Amino acid sequence: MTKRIYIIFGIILGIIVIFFGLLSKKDLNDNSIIVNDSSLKFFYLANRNLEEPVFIKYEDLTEAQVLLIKKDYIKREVLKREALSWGLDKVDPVISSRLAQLGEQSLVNNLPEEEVSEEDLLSFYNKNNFLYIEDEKITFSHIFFRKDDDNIIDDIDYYTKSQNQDFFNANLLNKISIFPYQKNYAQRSKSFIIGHFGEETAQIIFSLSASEKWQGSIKSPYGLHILKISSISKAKQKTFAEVRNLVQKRFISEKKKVNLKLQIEKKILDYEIIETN
Amino acid sequence: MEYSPGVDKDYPRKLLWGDTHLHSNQSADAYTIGNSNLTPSDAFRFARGEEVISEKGVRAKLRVPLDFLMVSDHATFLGMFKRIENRDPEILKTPLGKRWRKYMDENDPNLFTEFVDGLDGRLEDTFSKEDYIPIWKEITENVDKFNQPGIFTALIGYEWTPAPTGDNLHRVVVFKDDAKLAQKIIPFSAIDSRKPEDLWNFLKEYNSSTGGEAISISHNSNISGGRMFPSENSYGEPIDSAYANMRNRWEPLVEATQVKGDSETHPALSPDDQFADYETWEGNIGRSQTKRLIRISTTGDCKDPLNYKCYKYKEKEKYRYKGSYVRSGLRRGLEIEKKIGVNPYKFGLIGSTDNHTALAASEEDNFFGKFLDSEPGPGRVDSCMAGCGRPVNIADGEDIPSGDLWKNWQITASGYAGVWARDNTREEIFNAFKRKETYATTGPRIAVRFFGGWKFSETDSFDPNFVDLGYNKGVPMGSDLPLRGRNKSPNFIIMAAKDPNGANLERVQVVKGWTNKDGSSSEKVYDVDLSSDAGSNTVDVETATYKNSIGEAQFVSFWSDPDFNPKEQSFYYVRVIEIPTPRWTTYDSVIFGNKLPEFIPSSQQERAYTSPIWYSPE
Repeated sequence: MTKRIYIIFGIILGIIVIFFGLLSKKDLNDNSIIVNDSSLKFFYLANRNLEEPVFIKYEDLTEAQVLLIKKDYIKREVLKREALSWGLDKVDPVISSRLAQLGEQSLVNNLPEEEVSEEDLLSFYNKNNFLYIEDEKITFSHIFFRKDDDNIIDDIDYYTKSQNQDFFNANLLNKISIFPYQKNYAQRSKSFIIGHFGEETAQIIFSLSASEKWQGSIKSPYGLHILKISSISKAKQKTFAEVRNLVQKRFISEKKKVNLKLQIEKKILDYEIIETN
Repeated sequence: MEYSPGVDKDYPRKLLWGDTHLHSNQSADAYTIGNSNLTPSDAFRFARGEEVISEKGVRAKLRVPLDFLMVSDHATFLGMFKRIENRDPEILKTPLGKRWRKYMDENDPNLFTEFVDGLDGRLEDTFSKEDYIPIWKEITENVDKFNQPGIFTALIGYEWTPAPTGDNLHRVVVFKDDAKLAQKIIPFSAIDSRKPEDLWNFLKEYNSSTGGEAISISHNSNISGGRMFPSENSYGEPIDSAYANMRNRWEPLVEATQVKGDSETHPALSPDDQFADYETWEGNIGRSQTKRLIRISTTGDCKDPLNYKCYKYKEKEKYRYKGSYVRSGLRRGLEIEKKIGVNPYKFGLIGSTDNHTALAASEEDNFFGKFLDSEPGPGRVDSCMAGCGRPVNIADGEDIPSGDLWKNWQITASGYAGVWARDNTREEIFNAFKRKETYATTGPRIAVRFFGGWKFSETDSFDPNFVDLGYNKGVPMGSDLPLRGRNKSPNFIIMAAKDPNGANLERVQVVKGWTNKDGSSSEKVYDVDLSSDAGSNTVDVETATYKNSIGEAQFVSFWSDPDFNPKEQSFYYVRVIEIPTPRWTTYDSVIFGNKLPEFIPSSQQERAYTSPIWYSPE
């Protein structure tokens, strides 16, 4: 009962607001243009030249500059209203397109919430499980030595066996070279590593195991590397439980697309389409 | 006080590979020449490393995925053919849609002819701008779906395609933005205007009215009939500073190499450059102005009238070369700068494919051609681009005996864009484009760093902190040299590393252009680093193989300009040349058993061209 009273009260209030709104609108001449700081500021911001090297805040403009903006604003407002009075908005493709976009967005916003069962999600997952494969990934750092010193390989191999830091500092530190790509690779897929080290070297790198120790030497097309691998994982199919939220999101989004299409088709039926030559 | 070593070291350290020029079935020519099925989505899937079935039914996959891709379908008739095929009622309501549907039903070749005429605005009927709104919306929203910041960047773009009298003035338009912003415009096509100035105005307007940003990248200057880097604007007036500034702002890059040949330089322009004649094409895009060409020989390899290597511009038409190539364009830029104070041709370089197969495949042994007719298969070498037996529309008495476009053996398996960026996102890649921290390769993923300054030393090039030094003591590719001060001569540090899945490198060169006292310009190519066996060739034509037993995997070099004149403008860019490897046609001859005419080169030396570094007198 209380709810009903509130609804009736709300409707009456709405009618009063509209009525007074219409009355107050009548006070203004159709040719009135309201100019105030807020409208000018909005106009200024919306039309600023983004290529200007320095942007001056509206508040910092001189009176003369504000006057110019005011003139521009009035000119544009007049031209806009003239265009509207000639009905040009009905034929402008950008306006039509924008209104159609807004219309579509309203339909999207008002689509009913989807009821999703676990069976639906599981079936969607089973049909599209290729979307939920985790690539093999590796995380490592590497040190690179160019090939131009023949003895270096023995030193590198001695170092990786002994892990003797003093030996490294004395014999290898000053032979480190610049690698064309990165020093550190975090959670990178095999195809990414192939792109930087070549196919053969990538296969070797992915065949190693994670270790606290430096490993190598590994030969690449550019020279020799030692690697410290923090983690390495095999490709695996993610389980439904792991990706349930992603599946749900995708399922709802796909469903919404279908529903939107249906809604639009339904709306079209409300219209009489008259084809003329 | 500063303490942390990472402060101010946010340099672009990621080398990203991509293609900004690829067509799908939404391009009218791709569709009419046979790719009616592979969509922009297929293009993105292929680029990010998935297996895709080509239009001819061949399984296609990249060895290594790309990092970014822009599908740049032609703005003119964008998406129309697919919609006509699908009997889109809105499009079939239009007179042109109705007529073209009829041509489709009747298999009428006028479909292709009218489309070609329409590309250049020579067709009376056309579609209204409004017809493109839903198409552009669908296309741009689809691109957004494939954009994965940090992993794979899908850029929104399209191609503007004017070709007045067959001279190629094409540009791709690249957006920094997402679909919401890009949808605020309808692609500006050659029907709207054939003048590049109008395109740049359109980009400017997009920028100022939406806050979004887009740039254009020109391509195929090699077949522009001298119009890509002209001395005059589109109205025939000498280039002034307004034009120069506008061009530099809205067109910072040039696509220097792609499937329709290489645009770096031409032997007629660079007679002292032994590597100048790389995948050279003659004439213009339509080959409709063949009267400009002369057949230079009818003996030996030139007995075959289809050997287009045997045609050159006639003497009085030779001026066209200068406006058609990147190096001569850069030189002309310096000459104009000397006159008016601004260089209109201060552009960086990238490579891309321009394939119309939705497959960004540029490797010689994994090349899927330009159109359906050059997709892998036994006959592709002998077929013609866009089909043989085109009606003759050239004047009688000309040397080229048919209206066919080029033979497909001539197309080039090229190229890709290398970009030095901070991250794999739209914004970072777009900013790298604007900084011109980019370079072109003809397909291999050769890594190149190039820094210029006044205070580099020999040891800097070997320093493991090469990149830090490069940015701290100098500027990267695409920049102006810092002020000279009292320094005598600019110096450069260069790092070039082979494609880890490809061939070794033969040499690293610096190409220099400079102005002379009389306002003319000159050029010189310096060998900065050479492998000890440079000039050797291990290609075995019978098996289409080569050996990496020659060449070097990596070069790190220091170079100081020995001929520097502080009073004259100059530019410097790096060219890296691989050891010889089989051309794609040689791979084809082994895989498909094609017998090739002798004038087709069996091997070639792929390469990379960096964006230049410029010097202007203070």
